[in-house]
Amino acid sequence: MIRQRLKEHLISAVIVCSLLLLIGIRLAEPRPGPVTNKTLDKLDFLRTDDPLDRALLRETLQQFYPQQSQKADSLLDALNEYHRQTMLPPARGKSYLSFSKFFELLGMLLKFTLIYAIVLALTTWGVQTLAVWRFVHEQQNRPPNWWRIYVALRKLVRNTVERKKIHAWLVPIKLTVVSLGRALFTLMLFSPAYVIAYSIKTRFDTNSILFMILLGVVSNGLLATYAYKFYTFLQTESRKGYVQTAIVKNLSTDYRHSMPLSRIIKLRKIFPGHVFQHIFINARHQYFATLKEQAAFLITGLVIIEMALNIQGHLCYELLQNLLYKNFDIVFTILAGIFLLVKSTEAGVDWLIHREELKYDSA
Amino acid sequence: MIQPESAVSNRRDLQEKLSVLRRHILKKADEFLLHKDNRWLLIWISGLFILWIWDLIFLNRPAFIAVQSAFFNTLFVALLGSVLALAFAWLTTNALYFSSRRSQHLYAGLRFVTDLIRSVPQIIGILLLYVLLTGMIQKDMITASATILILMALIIAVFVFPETTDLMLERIEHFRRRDFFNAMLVCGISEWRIVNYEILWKNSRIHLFNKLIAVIGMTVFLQSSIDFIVSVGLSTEISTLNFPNTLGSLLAKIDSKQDILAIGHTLLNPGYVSKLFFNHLQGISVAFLIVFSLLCIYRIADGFARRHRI
Amino acid sequence: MQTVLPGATGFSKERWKRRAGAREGETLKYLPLNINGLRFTNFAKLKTKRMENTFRIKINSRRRTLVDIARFPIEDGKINFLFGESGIGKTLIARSIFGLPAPEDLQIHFNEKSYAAYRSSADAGHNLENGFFVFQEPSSHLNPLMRLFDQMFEGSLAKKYDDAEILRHLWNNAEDEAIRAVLQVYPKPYRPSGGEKQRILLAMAFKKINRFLQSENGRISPLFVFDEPTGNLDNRLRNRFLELLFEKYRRHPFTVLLITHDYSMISEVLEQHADIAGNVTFRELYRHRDQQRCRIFSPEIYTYWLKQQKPMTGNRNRKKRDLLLKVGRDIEVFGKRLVFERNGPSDLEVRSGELVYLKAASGAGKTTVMKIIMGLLPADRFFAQLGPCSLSENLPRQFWRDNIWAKQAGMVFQHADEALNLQARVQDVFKGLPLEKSKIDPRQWLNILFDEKREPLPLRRQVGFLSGGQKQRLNLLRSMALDTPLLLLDEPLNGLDFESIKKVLRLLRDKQREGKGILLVSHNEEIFDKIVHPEHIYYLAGK
Repeated sequence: MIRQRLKEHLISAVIVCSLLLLIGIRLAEPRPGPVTNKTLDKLDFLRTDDPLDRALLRETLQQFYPQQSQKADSLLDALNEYHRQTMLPPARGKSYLSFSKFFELLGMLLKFTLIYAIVLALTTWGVQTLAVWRFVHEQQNRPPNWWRIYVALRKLVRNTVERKKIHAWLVPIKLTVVSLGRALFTLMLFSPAYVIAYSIKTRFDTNSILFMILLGVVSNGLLATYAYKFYTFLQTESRKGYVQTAIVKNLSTDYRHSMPLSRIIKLRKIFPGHVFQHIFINARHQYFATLKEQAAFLITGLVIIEMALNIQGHLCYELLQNLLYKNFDIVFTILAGIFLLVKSTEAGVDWLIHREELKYDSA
Repeated sequence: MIQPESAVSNRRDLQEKLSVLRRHILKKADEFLLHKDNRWLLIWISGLFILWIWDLIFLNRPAFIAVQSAFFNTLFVALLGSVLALAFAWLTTNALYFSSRRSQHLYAGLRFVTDLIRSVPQIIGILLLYVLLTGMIQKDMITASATILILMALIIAVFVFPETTDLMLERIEHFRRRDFFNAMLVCGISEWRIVNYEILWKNSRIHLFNKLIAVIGMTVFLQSSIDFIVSVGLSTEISTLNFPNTLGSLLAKIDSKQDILAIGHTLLNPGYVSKLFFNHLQGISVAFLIVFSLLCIYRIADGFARRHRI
Repeated sequence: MQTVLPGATGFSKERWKRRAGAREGETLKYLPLNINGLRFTNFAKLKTKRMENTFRIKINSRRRTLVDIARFPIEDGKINFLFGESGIGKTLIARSIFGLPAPEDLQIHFNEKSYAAYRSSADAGHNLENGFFVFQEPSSHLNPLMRLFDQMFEGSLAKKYDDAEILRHLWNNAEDEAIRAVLQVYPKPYRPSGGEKQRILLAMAFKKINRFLQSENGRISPLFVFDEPTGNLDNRLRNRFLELLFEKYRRHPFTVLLITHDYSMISEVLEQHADIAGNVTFRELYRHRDQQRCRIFSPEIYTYWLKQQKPMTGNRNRKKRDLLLKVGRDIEVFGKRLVFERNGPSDLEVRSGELVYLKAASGAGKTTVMKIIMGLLPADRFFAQLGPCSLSENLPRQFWRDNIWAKQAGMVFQHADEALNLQARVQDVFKGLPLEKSKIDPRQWLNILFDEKREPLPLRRQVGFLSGGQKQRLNLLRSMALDTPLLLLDEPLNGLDFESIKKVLRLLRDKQREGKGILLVSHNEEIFDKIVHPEHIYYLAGK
């Protein structure tokens, strides 16, 4: 079964990459240049990127040459293309896929893959930690912070003796800071990367790899979405029958004292003697299946970061620039690289799931 | 002056009716606010309304109109994109399911295509189709803003629908594993009815609606991002005159960017914070609309899923 | 004692009390430390006393009342049998008495007090700490990602409490090696079998009983709940379980609530454990308007009725009847050979007007055979003649669709909850069936098994809100409406109370009279052994 699945991934990768490269090479073949440079040079007063100028020229041509609208259109296109090319800075003009370019792209792909792997590992840990924290927090059934602030303030207002003690003020201040921090963190989790990046661009070097990794983890809603998914798995599992059996076996159900934060944030999360151990391992088992989807979402996020922030020397910035200059051979090579990365992830996740299944079927 | 008895009784009746109505309204409001999704829907609408009032007062007229039209365009694309994604997903699910029963070759082909779409990072797929769209706009093949918006929704839907297809196939599989499917089959009920009516409509529409809410959030995110990227990176390709205004493209404008950069400035100069809400309103409003909408949509989906125990 | 609450004052206290399920103004003695996790505060400090005998219970969901019973008795120190159709609320009542449902899910009131107050009481704490609850669906009540061995030894079961003896008894003195092999398995849907999973849960309960019997202090009996403990066991294993339970009980009485649909347990108790029959009570839960009621079920009602039952023979000359189904004497499936036996290997035959009963041990493959006949499961080797159609393992599914389903044969599946669309309304159950227009009126079918005066069934009611017995009857009626010459019934008495059992059996006799052939599998051996002619009873053996 797994062999069949891996074979499918391989075939798909080979077919799609070959197709992409073929299309790229085909599109990269030298095409006829502008119709006539000397004639067009004389029309430099025209701004062909302005729809008004184009409309005016078309109307003029139709006045002089009625019945020849097709010719007029192709002249307009040629003019547009010629004009665009002359406007391009010489260094950013047309380029073709050479060996050196290919290796340059390969280097970029490796850099992209490295960042991707680190972000994937961090989000996988982050997703589980956030979800477990939320679940435990809910089970603790503590009053919300706003209510605790209100109660503390009311106490201060009513009790004049208490009001004079500094530490009495620390409670609502601490709670307010924590609440604000939490609200900011939540907003950040849902912010697209470019909003965060532009917000702090003047203060930090937003082009560094470290910043990219950080942004990849916390922005674009990735962490929030998948932490919520994991949390839903925890919720669903907590309602299952085996949890009830664990309860009547008297496993601990205390979420206040037996679930310290240190245990929740651990890399390897284990909760011996607690009902939550049952819930957690089952939720984690389901979570593996969503890794594929999470990885695809993560790649989308990283692409957005590289493109929106215009980080030079990075794969997706290169993709965007080459799209702009219609260097399709390079564009499709980059696409083939990204496709390969996605397929490798899918194959990896399938293998991981298969290994998990084997683990539980082996006995 | 002594009032006639009938007038007193009428007034008493009226008071009683009003009191019943008040209690009824309060009860309904209580029921409505009991659910987290409703609460967040209310928060979203209220937040948007407050921002609208604020912008109406403090934002200059052209910028106000630009922000307003950008929000509605984005919302339109998101809603239409989600509906189209649902339609694509329903069609694909049927095609995949029935082809798997009748022709393995057709099934393999369809599976290959859907897997392929799934394997292309959404943003890249959308970007490539956007390049085509901008080409068409440049060649004046499309000029109407409504058509462009519909095409934008269509493009996003193409890369968003596989998730919904997966959900539908998962639901069918869930019922196939149980006696549900076989019990209906042996009763002579047609497979088409079992799949589309009994499973997808009767037993999965809550799940699908929840997915739809999540897809709306996804569509807002993708559309804002792609418009931002296109406006930043492919700006020479697009004339702002013929491309509809959206939150992403508005955020990419230089004055909006300046507004966002001001947030960074405020981090080290907290005294500047008051100016953010008066002098940098365009960018801040757009960024707020994107982030706040994404947060609220996520919370609504979360609340809805909890309410229906999905 | 004051309420132990998080937060300090007024609103907060009320709010958290409400979330814990308390009513307004009520003072809680102890607030559970964890509301969802069902942990109670300071059990050790609470003084245990004999448990309360009678409960007034009301359970509401957000949308409707699930249980409303004025008097639900559990006799202390006795074995309390509880019958009643499925879905009437037996399990929910038992779980609530045990304090298991999460308070935020349901509004529960005990003896006019809140659920939170009940859960913080000494009785509930004592039961949870020292009692046990065997849940009715063993598949979902074992953790699929933990070996059975590990699940047998955790929490309060971590120590050994004569485990080997318990397991040997429940496995009918099987080899230790075989039992050990089962314990090493991760419970998956098809492995180990439902019966094995059931026995593991029973073994856990017996460990807890042994723990109670060995304990020095206490001696105040906790509650042990067995919810459908034998649903996946054949009669032999069921009797082994009862034997062990009664043996433990003889050593020191404890309180048991045993929920079941298997009325034949009555005969087993009266015949094999007559010495303590005085310590056994039989009750039945039934619905009266919108409330539940609990009444004494006199065992004689069942035993007398059973004595009256005789097989309906009809035309004695079997050969003269039309042959509706003939299945070759063995079937190969999943690499296993299943053989039909009737005084030696024999073809399985069903003729018009006959009720044929296929018996087998638990997990032997009865349902599998039914599914193979109906073309729902591919066999490795199989041959049958169904009406004019010859069936074999090579036929495509389309053949069954075109010729068999709803034309030659119909099938009733054992779990009505799965077989029916729970989101549909009652009137929709008959929609989509290939019936003539005049036969689509649902009322005409419902009248057969539902008494409109005593048990009105609104057509617009959602199927999911019906009781289990009502669903099972609806499930039967849907297939009956097709009017096929042959009917295959998989556990047709599943989840039915005594009254409904009688109704369904009457319906089966009517169908026999109409000349329909019926093939059924059921674990209600005692009943069908009486009703089915011995000539029409087959055994399915795995080779």
